[in-house]
Amino acid sequence: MTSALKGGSVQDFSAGPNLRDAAPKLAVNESSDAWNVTFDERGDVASRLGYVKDNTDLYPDPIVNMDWIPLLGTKVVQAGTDLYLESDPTTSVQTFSTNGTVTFAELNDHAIACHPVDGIFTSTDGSTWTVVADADAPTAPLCCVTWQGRLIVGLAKGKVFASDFGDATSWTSTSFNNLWEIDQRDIVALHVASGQDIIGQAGLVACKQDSSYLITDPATLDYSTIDATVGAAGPLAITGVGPKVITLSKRGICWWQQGQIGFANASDRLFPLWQADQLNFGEQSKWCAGRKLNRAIFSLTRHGSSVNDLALEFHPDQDWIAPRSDAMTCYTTSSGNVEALYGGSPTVDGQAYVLDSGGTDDGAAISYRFQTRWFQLNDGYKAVLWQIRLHGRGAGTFFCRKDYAAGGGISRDFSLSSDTLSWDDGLSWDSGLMWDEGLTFQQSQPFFSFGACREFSLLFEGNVSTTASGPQVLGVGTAPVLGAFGLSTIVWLFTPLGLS
Amino acid sequence: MSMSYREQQDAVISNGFDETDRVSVKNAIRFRHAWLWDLEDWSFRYGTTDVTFTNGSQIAVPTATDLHAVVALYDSNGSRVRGVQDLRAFFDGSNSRLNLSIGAPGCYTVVDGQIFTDTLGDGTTGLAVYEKSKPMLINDDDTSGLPDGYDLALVHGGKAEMFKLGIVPDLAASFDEDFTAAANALRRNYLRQVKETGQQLGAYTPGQWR
Repeated sequence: MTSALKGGSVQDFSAGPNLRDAAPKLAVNESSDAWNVTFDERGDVASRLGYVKDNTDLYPDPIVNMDWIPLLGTKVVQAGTDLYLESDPTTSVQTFSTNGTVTFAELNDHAIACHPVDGIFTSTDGSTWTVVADADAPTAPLCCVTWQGRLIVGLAKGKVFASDFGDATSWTSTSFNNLWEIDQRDIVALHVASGQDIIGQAGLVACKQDSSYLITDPATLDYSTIDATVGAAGPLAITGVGPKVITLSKRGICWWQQGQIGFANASDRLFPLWQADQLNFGEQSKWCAGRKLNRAIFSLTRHGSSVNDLALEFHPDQDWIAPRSDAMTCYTTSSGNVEALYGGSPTVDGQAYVLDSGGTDDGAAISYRFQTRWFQLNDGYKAVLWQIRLHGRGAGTFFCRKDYAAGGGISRDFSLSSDTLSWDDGLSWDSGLMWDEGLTFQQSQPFFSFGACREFSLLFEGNVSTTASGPQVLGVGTAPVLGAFGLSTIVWLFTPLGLS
Repeated sequence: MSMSYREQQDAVISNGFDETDRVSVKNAIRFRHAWLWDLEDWSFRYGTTDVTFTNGSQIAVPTATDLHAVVALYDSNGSRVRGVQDLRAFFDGSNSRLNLSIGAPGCYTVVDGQIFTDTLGDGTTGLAVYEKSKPMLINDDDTSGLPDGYDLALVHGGKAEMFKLGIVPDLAASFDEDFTAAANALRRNYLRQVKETGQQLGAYTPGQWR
């Protein structure tokens, strides 16, 4: 006994993958798996863009950190023990005693580089760096930031030190505070918080690896504890997007903003990832964070890896996290006329990349994967899935997995591309003369005969090495560059089979 | 112009089924083809062919390769050769173990598509009116033997079968209706092709003598 043909659809994947919950319990906009894809603000999923070389000549050593310093209008790159200007990757402008992570800031016409062993260095041109000679200056800064006209540095044993106002070379021995409300562990990361607290005070977020604090007075460095359990993995594992300060730590990706009580964990849906058998917590100091436009990007080490080998893109407003393969050792975002995101290669010594650029990872095709949540057709009773129609772009293969199958599935090749003019056969919608249908930026394609099942999920896989173009913005100019694969909507039709 | 078997398959698959369903689609089309072919005593199932009464052989060979049954057989002079339905009765008097003579046939029978005559052939050519065997749909370029324009009935029938097999009854019904409509249309034009009435005139009856 069968009943009439029924249908369903999904067009919102905006929550990203949920690796935590049981398959039947995923929310309507969550997905079972994602790799090397990104999401847009309306829930479409697309293969991510790639990266291209930033420097032709390699820096001599692995890139530890880099920072685009507005004062200099250029990037300063730490490769191994040395600093370089991006204009000359082979000429060192400063040599330190170790390759410990240098953090950067700028204050009052001085670029600042803080080395965890050699101390604080300043430069007015990026080419000549001078160690701060003030006897009261901290000598082993683990991290630094400019806040309220002072250079603030984080130190071992929970100490935060502030320079004199407007001068990173002048320090007063008493201008420090010990953030010891919980413990005396090292201050590993600092980031300015946007906005003001309820009594009109601005804030500076200081993080240990397992706790975070809000410093509200640059003179006294008075503070309060934001979160007693969430901190930042290391000096590079903190960033800000809009009002939110976002950290990466062994607790996950967590954010805080003024008015928020404690850090909010944005990575709960990826909870199984944050385990010692999944990530290499021993390399937390290498974890890093970056920002481009309204999104944050993180890199971290998976279990068994000593270098960053997993990247996570995070949308702070929509809370989705997209895992990807383009991990970096560090990130920086230029703030000149063109905002670009740069990263250091964890596998090619001395190579920096421009991220979100082109369709390949420096020439290598990008392998993407996206699996939808499980769609129940007939309230859990059997049904025959007759048709699936995809709306999107690009080409690849998808597998229709049925009834919570962990592998395999019915394979179908899809081709939603329209990179060449298509010509009808003279019998279509037009006048009857041969005529092209024009280029499209999205197409739909039906697929049939998937047989009986109770639930199904679609797994999309492919390798891309190109990009696609969206429609022109306001009808003119350069069309936006998009990932070659894009999925907008899935529609399906099925026949219920009855109560079995 | 007829649709080839492959074109019929592609049309069934289009907008309804997957390439992986092709084997099932072939079965569905063949089923509907057999169904339609055998549904009525269609006029297009009949034809004429030359028949060679092979010299010295009891078996007469038709030129046509699709002979299913013989309706009528004529010798080289146009004289009718009588058909014998009772095979045993025929072979009791005429079989290759007997000393048959060469000459014009007097009667024939058909066994497994072969025409046997009661004499050995004399090399002349006769004529047969015959019923065709159903065309086989095996190779991609095979055709159905249906009148021009009616191959789409097999597409509709194939889709209906496939939707039934695939348990999409909503869509099967409409294609079944089209298939049935095509069969009904065939009935209008292909059950008989002699349109004159051919009725016998009434016998002369003299009026009452006066």
